Amino acid sequence: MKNLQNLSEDQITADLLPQKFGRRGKIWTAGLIVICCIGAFAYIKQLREGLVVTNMGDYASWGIYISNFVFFVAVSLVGSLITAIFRLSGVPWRTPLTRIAEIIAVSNITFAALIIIVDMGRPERLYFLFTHGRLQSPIMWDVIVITTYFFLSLLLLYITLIPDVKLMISLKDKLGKPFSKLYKWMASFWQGTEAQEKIRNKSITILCVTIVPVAFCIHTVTSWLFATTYRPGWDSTNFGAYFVSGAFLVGAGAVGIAMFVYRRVYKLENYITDDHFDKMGKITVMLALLYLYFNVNEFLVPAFKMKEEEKAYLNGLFTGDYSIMFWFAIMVGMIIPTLVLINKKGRKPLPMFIAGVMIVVGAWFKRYLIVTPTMLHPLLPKYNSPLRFNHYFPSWEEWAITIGSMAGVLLIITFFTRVFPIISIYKTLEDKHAITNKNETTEQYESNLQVS
Amino acid sequence: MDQNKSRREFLAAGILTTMAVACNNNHSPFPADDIEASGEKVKLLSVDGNVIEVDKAFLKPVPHMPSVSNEEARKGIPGKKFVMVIDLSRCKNVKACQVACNHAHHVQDAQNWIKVYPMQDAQHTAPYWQPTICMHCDEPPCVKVCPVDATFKRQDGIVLIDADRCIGCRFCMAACPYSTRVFNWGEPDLPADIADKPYNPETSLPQKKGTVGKCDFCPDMTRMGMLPHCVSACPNGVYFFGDMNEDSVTNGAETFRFSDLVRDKAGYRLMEDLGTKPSVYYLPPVNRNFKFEEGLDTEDSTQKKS
Amino acid sequence: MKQLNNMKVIYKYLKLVISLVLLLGISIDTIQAQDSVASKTQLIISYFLPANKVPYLEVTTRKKIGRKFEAVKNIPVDIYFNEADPNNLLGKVITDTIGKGRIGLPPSFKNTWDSLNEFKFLAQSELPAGQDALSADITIKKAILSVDTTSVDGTRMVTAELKEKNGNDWVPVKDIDMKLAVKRMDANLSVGDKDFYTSDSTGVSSAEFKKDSIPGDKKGMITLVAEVDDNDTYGNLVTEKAVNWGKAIAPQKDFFAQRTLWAIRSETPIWLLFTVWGIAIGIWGTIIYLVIQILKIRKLGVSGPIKEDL
Repeated sequence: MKNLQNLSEDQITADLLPQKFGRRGKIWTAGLIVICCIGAFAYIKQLREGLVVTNMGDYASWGIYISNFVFFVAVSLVGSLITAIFRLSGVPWRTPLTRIAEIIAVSNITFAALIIIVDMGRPERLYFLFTHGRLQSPIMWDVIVITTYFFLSLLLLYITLIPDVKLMISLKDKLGKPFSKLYKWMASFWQGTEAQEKIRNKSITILCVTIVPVAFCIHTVTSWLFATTYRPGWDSTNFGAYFVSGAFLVGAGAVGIAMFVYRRVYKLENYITDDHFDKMGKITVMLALLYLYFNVNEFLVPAFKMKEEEKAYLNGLFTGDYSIMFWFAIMVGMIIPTLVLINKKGRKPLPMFIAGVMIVVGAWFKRYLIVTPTMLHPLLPKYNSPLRFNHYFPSWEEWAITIGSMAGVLLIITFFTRVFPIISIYKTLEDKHAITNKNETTEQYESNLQVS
Repeated sequence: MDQNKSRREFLAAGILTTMAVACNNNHSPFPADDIEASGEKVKLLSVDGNVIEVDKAFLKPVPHMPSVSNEEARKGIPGKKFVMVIDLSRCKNVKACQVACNHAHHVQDAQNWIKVYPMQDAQHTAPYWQPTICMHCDEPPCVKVCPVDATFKRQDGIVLIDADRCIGCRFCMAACPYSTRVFNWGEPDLPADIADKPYNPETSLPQKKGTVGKCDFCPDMTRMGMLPHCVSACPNGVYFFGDMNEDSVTNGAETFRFSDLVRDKAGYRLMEDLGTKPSVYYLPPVNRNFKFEEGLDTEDSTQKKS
Repeated sequence: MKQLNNMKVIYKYLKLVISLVLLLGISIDTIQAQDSVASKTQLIISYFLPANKVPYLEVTTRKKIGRKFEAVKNIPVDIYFNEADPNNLLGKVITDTIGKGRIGLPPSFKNTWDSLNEFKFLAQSELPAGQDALSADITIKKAILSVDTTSVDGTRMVTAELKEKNGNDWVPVKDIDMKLAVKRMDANLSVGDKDFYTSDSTGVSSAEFKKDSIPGDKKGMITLVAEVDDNDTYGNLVTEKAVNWGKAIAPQKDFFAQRTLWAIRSETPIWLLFTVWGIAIGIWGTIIYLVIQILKIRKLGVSGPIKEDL
């Protein structure tokens, strides 16, 4: 943070303004678009033929669409963690991370909503949720709470963007024309007067207070889609906390990855410093241990009892068909990142990036393990049903749609980065002034002491 | 509920009772505007040699039942509370129930609404065959989770599905502990005359792509005064169907007082501890009519199919 | 072909042919036998006298497939009295989806019906060319069945009496098996422990009513049923009587007024409605408030001194 002192305001502005895609950026974007198109093609196929193109069956009636939905909801939780919780608790080094977290939240919650539509057998009847919605169903709660979180995240993103966009309007000649109309529409009214500033600050505080419980709700309610059933592995009172803690962890991992990539690609070493990695690393360790704690609760307690209905399911995870994936998710998703990040040397950019990737990959497979093994262990035996329903491995269409949706998330983030500054210029300048002012006063204070 | 309406809703019973009235006072049993009850009269000879006018419906072995409206299908038959008793001591895994059910409801692919499980409760206890259908729970977990009222509980105890409402989220399938629900993953393969009809929740036909299906307790058959397909198809009289409000169940050949039957034979329900309160009772497999092994013969051929 | 010269081969060949022919012959026979069982449609005629005392004749067309019977539908059947003479035609019927068809006795038959006590009914069906005509007949005696209740030493008894027409009198018939039952949905529940009760020398069968407090209607009324099933001489007879021996079943509390988690959307539990709407209104109120704040900021900027960017 001290680096800020040595940078001029112009330098900061120039560093943080959105940049045109370079060659790498174009290849990256084109690649994502191609993956998205393949996903869209697979979805069109699914729309025409029905969910028969998937490998789901009457036992595994939910598959990776639902796993992926849970994953997206989990990642999106980070917006509230970094922005709201850090702001409310006055974490001083949050500035370069908040907007990254917010756009991760918005893009993920958008695709969470889309992927759940993909999972529907009758997507054209989506509006029935509003015309015939039943409040008794946890799905309705999820619909309400995800819509709410989406709008809250969008608002938070917008309100914090206003001064930056205004700045970009004034730098029109430097930035060129492409988005000037959008910028004008968004922020031309901003003059930074005291009255405006006051309302804006108050609004952000209210937003932050509101978004924390809603964020807890999105993942708690999502966990209830499972926990309100009788199935082994889901019938758990631990589920809400288990899901929320897991969500915070994967969100922190995602932010770690994004920090590293932005720092590398946009040369933001002066803004996203080693110190940030160190601090995010510590938080990630705490979250990983917290999630591990809930995992121990979730598996040790039923494993101790080994109830008949849960036995096959638990054995499948510990030593059976899913054991490799299960231990992979535990080791790679929680334990190894903890071991890496618990050392000071591990909390450097590259190890943090690697740990972040491990956490996110582990988390995706964890979501797969939450859905599929339980579905394949119903309370009555699997019997008198087509044999192909007794197993589940996603079809290419499912993979294409899932990977396409992930590419979609990255695409939103990429386009956002092209259009808006990924680190708030306004807030960075504010931080710089604060540091400078504080130093001035400290020096004065010291000199005064010497005089007396 | 006015008399007219209740008669329309449970017409088969109506025909029989009003018939008795008809012969006594030689009065038309149905009002002229009630086309559903045929309305046409014929003159017939009574056993005493009198000429009596009766409704033409009297001479129809299968009463003509226009399929009920969606609204009525959601309400159910007033005054009824349907119940099924499955006698495990009689089941030999013949699967005639399954065949009849699949045929009548055009159950797709190799899916089954009725499943006959070989069960063994513990290592040293004897195996037995256990047919399962939809339990039509009184506190149905599937209905609890439906976001759009596509599956619903009726006043006669039946849980049905409205495939014109179902959005295909499959939450009900996850919620059902009895694995009774199936999904139409692709476009159902149906004869044209059925596929073109409007959907009727009471017959669950025509099945629709991207929606859930399951055993419906055949309320259309009950309205015609007939037993569900599985009950009449079973050669061993395993299934008993009846009305809890009448305290009587029948398998077609034998009729028992329901409360006596479950008391004397120690009837129970599946997964009672879950609190779903099923409408299907089981009689334990004691004093069996068949050996478990006899059912294995039918097993090979059917497993091949699936 | 060369090998045919070899006697041994010819012998082998012949043996094969012979055994094949034999096998084929046997199998053809069995196939034919099975076929004749499977393809031949059966016609059955039976006589019914239901509770309303209007008798009817029912014809059934079915065929045996495998071990069970399946209905044959859309078979036209003519029903005659005594013999297949157009003057004796009682009616024509086409069997329905369950392979059954019914006719009542037409008023024109009144004189015959009144003058005789025993009747032969004949059912005939002209099938399309190439198939044998189907025919079945039944002979029944005119009879009536009545059901009544008595009380012996405080024990409630159900009695039924079958009388046949003999000359101009109705005389009781003994040794007839009948069901004495309470009418229920789809089937009748025996009033006692036995399935059948046999009529004594006075033509009366009786059973103790053991179905105490069986549910009746709102007033406790139940319908007693006496039934003679498939009797060779008298056909099928049913008669009913309503008695107040049942337990009065109070009208059910309105099922649809229960506010439960499994009820329809309009019956959502109140606590849930309050919770969900409370939270939703609270949060969305905040969102609306925030949007208003943004509009306020906007307004402040637009009406302010610097307007160069607009």
